Formats: sequence, C-alpha cells, structure tokens
Amino acid sequence: MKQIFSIFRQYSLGALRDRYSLFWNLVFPLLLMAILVLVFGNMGELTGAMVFRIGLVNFEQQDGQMDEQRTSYAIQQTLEDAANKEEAWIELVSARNNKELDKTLAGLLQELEQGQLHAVLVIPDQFDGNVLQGIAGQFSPHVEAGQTGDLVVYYRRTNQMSIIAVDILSQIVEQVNRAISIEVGLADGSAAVALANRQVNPSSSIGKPFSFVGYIIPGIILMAFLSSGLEIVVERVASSREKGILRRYFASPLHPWQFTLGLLLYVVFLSLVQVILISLFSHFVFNTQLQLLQPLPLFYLVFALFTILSLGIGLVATAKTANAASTLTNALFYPLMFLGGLYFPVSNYPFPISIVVLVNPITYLVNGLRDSLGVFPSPTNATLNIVVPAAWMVGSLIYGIRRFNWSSKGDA
Amino acid sequence: MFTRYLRLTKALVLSFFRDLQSLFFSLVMPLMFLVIFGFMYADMGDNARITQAAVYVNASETVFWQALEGIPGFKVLEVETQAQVEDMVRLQQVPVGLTWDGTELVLYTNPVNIQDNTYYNQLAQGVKTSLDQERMGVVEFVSLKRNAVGGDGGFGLPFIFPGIIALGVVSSGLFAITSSFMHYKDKKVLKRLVATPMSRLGFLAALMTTRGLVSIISALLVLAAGILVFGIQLDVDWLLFIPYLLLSTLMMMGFGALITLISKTAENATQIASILMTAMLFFSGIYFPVEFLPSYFQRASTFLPLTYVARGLRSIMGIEALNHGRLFWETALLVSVSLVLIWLTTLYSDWSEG
Repeated sequence: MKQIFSIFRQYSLGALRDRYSLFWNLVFPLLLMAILVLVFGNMGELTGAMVFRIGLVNFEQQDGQMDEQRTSYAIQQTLEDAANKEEAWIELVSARNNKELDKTLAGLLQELEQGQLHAVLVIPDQFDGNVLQGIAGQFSPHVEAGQTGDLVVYYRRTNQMSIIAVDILSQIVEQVNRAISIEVGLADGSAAVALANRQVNPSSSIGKPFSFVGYIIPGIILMAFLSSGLEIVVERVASSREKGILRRYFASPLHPWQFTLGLLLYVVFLSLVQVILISLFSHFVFNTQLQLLQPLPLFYLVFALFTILSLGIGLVATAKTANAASTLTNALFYPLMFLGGLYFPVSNYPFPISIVVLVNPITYLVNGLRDSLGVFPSPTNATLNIVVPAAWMVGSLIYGIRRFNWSSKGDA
Repeated sequence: MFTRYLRLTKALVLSFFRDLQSLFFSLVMPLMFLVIFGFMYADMGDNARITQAAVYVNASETVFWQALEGIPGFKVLEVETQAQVEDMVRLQQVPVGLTWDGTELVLYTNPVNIQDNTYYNQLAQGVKTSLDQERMGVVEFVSLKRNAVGGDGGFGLPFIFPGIIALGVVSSGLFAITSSFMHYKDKKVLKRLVATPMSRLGFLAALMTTRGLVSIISALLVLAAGILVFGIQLDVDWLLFIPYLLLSTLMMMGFGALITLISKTAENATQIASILMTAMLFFSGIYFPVEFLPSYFQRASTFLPLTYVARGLRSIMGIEALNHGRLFWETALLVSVSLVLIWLTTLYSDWSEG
C-alpha cells in the first residue's frame, strides 16, 4: 500500500510542479468551456445581439428631394428607423454627398471588401419609376406587366454576418411588396401567413429548459478525461519505459501492479479535481449546477474514465516507443473528441464519417452522461450507451494485458 | 558553403520524416481536420444542401406542397401528428420540422443545432414567401439582386479550407524553432555543430528550407484531398501561393523564435507553443468568424499572426478579396519582424548549452 501511495505522491507532486501540466489538465478545460459558451451559447439570439453595418446609396435621392410617396423613401425610412432605435441592430452608413453618389458607392464597396461593412444596398436611378410601371402594368393593358424595381445588394459570401444581413434585407423587401400589393388592392391582407419559429425543448422529458452550458459540461468533462486518461497514461508510461525508469523501479521491491495502481490512483484523483473545478466554474461563472453526484451520472463518470483508461492501456501496449505513443495518442484524441459529439451533435454526419461516430465509445458515453444528468436526451439507445463502451473497455484491456511489455526492448 | 547547407538540409529533412510526431502534426493532423470539419461544413450556405424535414399538414390546401416543392433544400418526411414532428426534432431524428394548419406555418428547430438553425430559418422564410404569393396574391414590385464581392468562395468549407492549410504552416513553422531547434540544443547537437565550419545562420537557413518544404507538402496534400474528397474548386494564384507558404512558414518561425528566447528547455518551448497554437486556432477566425466573439477577443485576433496568414491564403486562393498592397505590406512587416527575432535567437540563445 505504501508503494502505491508513493507512486501516487510522486506523480501528484510532479504535476503540481509542472505549470504546463497544470494548465492543460486544469485550466484549459475551463478556458475551452468559456470560449465555446461565448461563441456558440448565444447564437440563437445572434441577430438580436449583433449590429449589422449596412451602407446605403440612394440614387433616387440625387436631387436632394425625398417624396414620401416614393417606394425608395419608404425603404430608406425603414432602415433609418431601425438604425435610430435605442437597441439598434443596424448601423446605417448613408451617402453623405448627394452629388457624387458614384464615388460614394465605390468607397462603400471598398469598405465592404475590407470587412468594415456587412452589406451595401443600392437604390438605383429609375427605381421608383419602375415600381410605378409595375403597378400600372397590373391594371392597364397598355402598360407592360411584370416590371420590377430592382434593388441591388452587395455582400461578402465568405462572411456569415454579411449573409445574414442580406437575408434581413430580403425580408424588408418582402414586407414592401406585401404592403404595396395590399395598398393597391391586389392582395388580401387577411390571408397573410404567420410564420412561427419554435425551438423544441430537448430536455422536456426531464422537465428542464435546454441550456447550452449544461449541454457542453459533460463534453468538457470527457475531454478532460481523454486528456488525462490517454495522454498521461500513454505518454508517461511509454516515456518512463523508454528511459529505463520502469526497469529500475522494478529492480526495487516495487511490483508492476503497485506501480499501475499508483498511476491509476493519480489519474482518478486528477479526474476528480477536474470534475470539481469544472462544476465550480460552471456554477459560479454560468450559474449552472448539474447533479453529478447522483448515482447514474456518477456511474457514467466512473465508467467513462475506466473506458478511456483501458483505451490508454491498449495504446501503450501497441506503441513501441515514446514518440510512437505520443503520435498514436494524438491521432486518436482528435477523432474521439470531435466525432464523439463532445461539443456539437454528430448524428447528422454523412457516410463514411458516420461509421466513426457509430463505433466511437465517446459518442455513447457522452450521450449517456447527458441523459443521466437530464441536460439532453440520449439520441442513442440506453443499452448501447453501456454495451459499446464496455466492449471497447474489455477489448482494450484484453489486448493491452496480452501485448503490454514493461521493457521497451521487449525483454522483460 | 552551399554544399554544407545542402547536406544539412538533407539531414534535417530525413530527420523530420523519421520523427513520427512531427510528421503527424505537420502532415496528418491538417488532413484529419479537413475530414472532420469538411463533413461538418460541407455545402454550408449552398442551396444544394439537403435538409430532411418532418412535416405535418392539417389543411386541405395543395398550395403548401407546391410551396415546399419550390424550395430545393427540403427533403420531406410526412408524419401523422404535430407531436410527432416535435418529438422527431427533439430526439434529433430530423434536424427540422414544419407544420401547416392553413394559416400558420410553424418551424421546429432544436437549439442544439446551433450552427444550422439560421439556415433552417432562411428555408422556412422561403416557404412563407411562396405561400404569401399564392394565397394573398402578393405581386413582386420590388426585387433584390444579390451581388457578391470579394472572392468566389462562400461561407463553409471553402472559407475554412485555407485555415486548414494554415494549420499545417503553423505546425511546421512554429514548432521548427520551439521543438526542433530546442531539441537539438537539449541533445547538444547544436554544441557540436558550432564546432564545425557550419555557421549558425547556415543551420537556421537549412531549418527554414526544411520547414518551408514541409509546409508546401502539407498544403499540397490538403489541396489534393479537398479536391478529391470534397470536390472543392479554387482559383489558386500559384505564383503567389508557393512563395506565400514559404514566407508564412518564416513568419511562424519568427513567432517560435520569440518563444524560444523566453523558454529554458525544449519542453517548455513546445508547451508554450502548443498553448499559443490552441489560442490561435480559436481566435484567428479560421474555423468560425471572429465577429461571433466578444469584442475583446476580436481585438486579440489582430495580434495573432495566424489571422494574417489565413487571410492571406484566402486571398491568394481566390476565396476572399484582399488588396494586394495591403497583403504585401502585412507580409513584409511580419517577415521582417520574424527575421529579426530569428537573428536575435542566433545571438542570444546559447548554442553550447545542453
């Protein structure tokens, strides 16, 4: 027992002295959680929280006069009203000099290309005339029907904010068409379609509202487990084995099983500290508290940790050198993490990536953990959430025990 | 002297290809990220993208089905009840649901599909517009013509593609000094090298050549995989592309040199470089627009060299417009700073240490 604690103590003190290990194991998971929540947590309210910078050039206003009856006036006024609101979602950059609108347009387009604007709307010359002609065409056989006033919007396809800005302008144009059609008696206002957007509550089965922070916490915990379970076990054991440290250990009264238990105890202790820190951080920073100490979540946490540790044992048995061990760990770490649904749903991935998702034990572990915590119902069957990781755990352990060698030269 | 430089370059190239870890981070990891993010972002923002939608209709009008047929993005899965639609979306069996009762069109989305819900809203808006035109008799008097400026790419895979190439450049450039240089120093290879007629600058030139070559191989591998697997078509300016890869590797080496100047051991330098690389992946706008981040993180992105490397590559690959003058000055400034930092490393880093 003393030897086991001695190994545990040695690894724990080593970790405390190594500030980079401290960063990766304890600080990075918190940082990642903060970044993901900041970036994606409010995306649903993105258009409400962001300000779109839109340039406006109205060639119909060239003479400096604005006729309230004109469609161009209505469009400009709608945008100006939106920009002048207290919580404006538009910042309107209009032409300052009515006499040189071409130059202004060129300037605004340059600003758009350089990323200073999200879109530039141009109301061309003859726009109002064309709209009037279109209206007249609906009533008079002498006027050609189908004429439209064409607004032009310039945008950047590589910028998502720019794409959203264009969609908002499209909706304004649609409102204008509807208003004109009703005004001239062509459309029946009472037949308008109401569009409602309802976000389902994925957590309704357990009577809680959905929270992105709650969704991301199990992912962050498993990422931390992956980091400690794979990287520490695989890289440390492989490195100590290569340097001959293990051989020297076992020349002393220390047994390999005592060393293994000491190392596992350290990883379990580190994982416990990680879970506590993540819980405290989410509670104090994001006001989210998850019942991690309930029996089922606790079972999934322990089950996940031991599955990952077993994978680590399988890996360290495969790699012959420390360099190969580190490479294998990284080659497995990223697919397990990104294709295991730790941060985003992975159920819609196409073939052949869907195969990786389906055989990935992390997919089932994170689904089971989220479901048990009541933050998100598992898209996979509850039995599979146990069976698939258990198969990996048993398979890796059998393989690891059969293949593992304490000596890098294979002579021990 | 040139022969010595060539021999050393050859030795460093061979050493690189024998090092599994360097090979993984510079050549395999960018390909892995291409596959992972490629399928995640494939066809994003493109009408060709097919979204399976659970649909329940409680009205006798055929106008709804006509409107739905007009939207190429939806693949309809008709269900029996409104509750079924909600359940299927909730359980992620379909990403989106629609119900229509003759007056109200309801779009059901799952908040967990954070990145895609804006796109589903656009599709539903298209159905509504079509329904309004049919039912109300709305006539189109005003139309909106869309003109894209600044490159042919769209948001999605083409946008992140240069970011993945930049990842290979960062790996080979940043870790060239922080990992390789410091590793040779730790192993006392540099100590032995200074005892030979090979100059310090000669060694650094060989290291730069090796890592520039690695960046080019990595970029070509990612490009080939992008074309073969995802059918990406890019208008690459090859005359600028290859030199820019070499210069951006140099820029990242300069950044690595800065880290080396403040680190004592190879392990320390590699750890700091890993932390900075992770920060750059998040805050340089290569996987998602920095505009989604709070303003202080947006400001931070202007200090990261990867922001400029990714933007430069997007411009050279015809995805985003960037004034050539601006590209030139930004690159010239970063390369100059990098050369100074690398020179300082040769001066202040003790090569005889082990």
